[in-house]
Amino acid sequence: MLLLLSAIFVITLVSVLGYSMVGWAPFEMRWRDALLGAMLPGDGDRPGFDDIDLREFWAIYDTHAPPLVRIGLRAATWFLTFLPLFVSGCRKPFFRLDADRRDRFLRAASSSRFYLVRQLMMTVKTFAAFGYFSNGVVRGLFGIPSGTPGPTTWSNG
Amino acid sequence: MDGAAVRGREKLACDVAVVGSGPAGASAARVLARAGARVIVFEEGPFARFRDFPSDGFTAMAKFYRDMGASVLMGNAPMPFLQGRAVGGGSVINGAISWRLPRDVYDEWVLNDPAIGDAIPWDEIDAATDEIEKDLNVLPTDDAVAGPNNLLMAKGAEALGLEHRRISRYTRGCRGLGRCLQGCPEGNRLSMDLTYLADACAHGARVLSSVEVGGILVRDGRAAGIVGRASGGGTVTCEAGRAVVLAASAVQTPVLLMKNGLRHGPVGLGFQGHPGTSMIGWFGDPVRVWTGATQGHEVTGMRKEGLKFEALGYDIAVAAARLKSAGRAFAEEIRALDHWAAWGACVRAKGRGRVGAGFGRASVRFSLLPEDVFRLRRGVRVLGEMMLAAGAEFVTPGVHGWHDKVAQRAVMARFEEEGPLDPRAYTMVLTHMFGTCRMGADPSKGVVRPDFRHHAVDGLYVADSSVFPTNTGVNPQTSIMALATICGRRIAAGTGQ
Repeated sequence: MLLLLSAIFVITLVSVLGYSMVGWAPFEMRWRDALLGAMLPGDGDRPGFDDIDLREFWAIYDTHAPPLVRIGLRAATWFLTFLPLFVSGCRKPFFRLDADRRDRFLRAASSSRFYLVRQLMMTVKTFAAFGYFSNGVVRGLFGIPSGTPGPTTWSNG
Repeated sequence: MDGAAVRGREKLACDVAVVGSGPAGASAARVLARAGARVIVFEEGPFARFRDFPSDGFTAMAKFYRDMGASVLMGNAPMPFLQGRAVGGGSVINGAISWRLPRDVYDEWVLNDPAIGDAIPWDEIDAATDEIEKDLNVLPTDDAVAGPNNLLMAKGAEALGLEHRRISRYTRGCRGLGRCLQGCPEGNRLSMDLTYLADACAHGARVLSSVEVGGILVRDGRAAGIVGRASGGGTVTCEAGRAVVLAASAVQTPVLLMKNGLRHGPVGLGFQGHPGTSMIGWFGDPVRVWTGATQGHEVTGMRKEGLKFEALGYDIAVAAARLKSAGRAFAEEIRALDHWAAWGACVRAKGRGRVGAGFGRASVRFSLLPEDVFRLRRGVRVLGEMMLAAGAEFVTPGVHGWHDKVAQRAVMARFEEEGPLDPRAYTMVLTHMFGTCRMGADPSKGVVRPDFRHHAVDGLYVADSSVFPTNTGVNPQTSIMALATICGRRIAAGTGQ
């Protein structure tokens, strides 16, 4: 397992370093959004990560994120997308898993015995939380006045 | 003046160039400007009007934190460290906490190097601190704006018989908006941009924002000025007739020295800080950690053991990210996010690290010693017990390899014995950094003399917490300001020139 993890890590690192020089490719965005959406799903009552308008969030990211942050999110995206290939019960890339398997995988990964996996999960969770709560409508659900030049619309709201 | 507008070559002249506009730079600049010196302060970050501070944590971190708050130090437990990057430095985005330099910490310094006691007498530090507290309206947090997160800590500490108190803060008219870490949108936190820098400017100083200083001009063994790169693409050269004062933080100051070949003494070595971890607990009544005074209550009873506890208010997104779960369980926990309280333990770590300047950037290495991890375990135990004693239905230590949820104090008490010894099991953030250009009479042990003068280059001073011989175990802003004020006085008096 350690060997497989190391192999994914090396492949991820090379890919991430290469791609970090440019913006997100469309396929990468799908991988990334699949992870972020599964990390914070909606339930019909409350919006999830997938339900909100994140254009301003990603615009701020594109403008301000330093290389370390870009590499970190990229690494988490690539690594966690392909890690399920080596997990029994999954055996597919993350974006090909159904909702239940995605959820089970995320729960298992967040308490993985491997420090690197836990840190990458933390990266995804932190971005999911920052993105979700950058939305003015979501903040409003928690009684937080917006008063911000940041995002204020929820596409389904 | 805004560096964003500088596109060509800008040439400036002054008596004293100050690099960094945080508490250290602002304090030194103020004293010097008041003494009649022509002062220019250089700040890498932008000038932020308090009405423009965003309400969400992400935008604030993107705009006003170095590396978006994701600067990471490496070692046996990699962890982020937070630094402000705006005019006013960390004072713009911190909890406005004020602590006087503890006498026992000062005595440690003097015991190790008696010359420090001669150069910086305790009475002078004490008097400078009195002035700072008066200038910045330092007062204990009013219960009316504290909010449940702070008040519950008082209840928990009382139940455990631990010495505790309301945190003294630099505020005026605080309404407990809980937005200190995003920048106070009402300007009620008395940060440096609103106070000491404004006062310095009123006495003729200039502040140049969005200029990253990379070069220190040295001629005939004497600091003669600085060279910076403006965010607008131009360069700024400033001749300083009398002194160059470095006040860019315990991470950036040694890097600036090293980048300029000024590697005299233990520059970059001896890095110390305060690693901190947090405890969250679920209460039956709403707590809403994103409201009330961001950090309004503290437990001081274990300070001499190297532990201090603070209530931790922060943006709702940060509160969510601290939850232990993922996926649907995470979304479910977020629904009741307003019921979670969050408190932190700050450790006076004995471990020492180093700051390097690889590829022109700061790289920090720091590892906790076994005794630091023991202290951390004790801190987690006390935090958990205190929270349960305050009425939490359960707490979540957030330590890998131990219980996710604990509802009984007796179980929490076992953490001090059972808690993991691998520091990577803990989720930590490092705050307050020290010691990378420490002062000392012996040139082989100090980068600057006890009067802040660089040992090898005349006219070059360091005024920030990199000169502190050790960490302090408490929030250092007031100590930094007191020492930087004294540094400014020494330069104004022409000591050693």
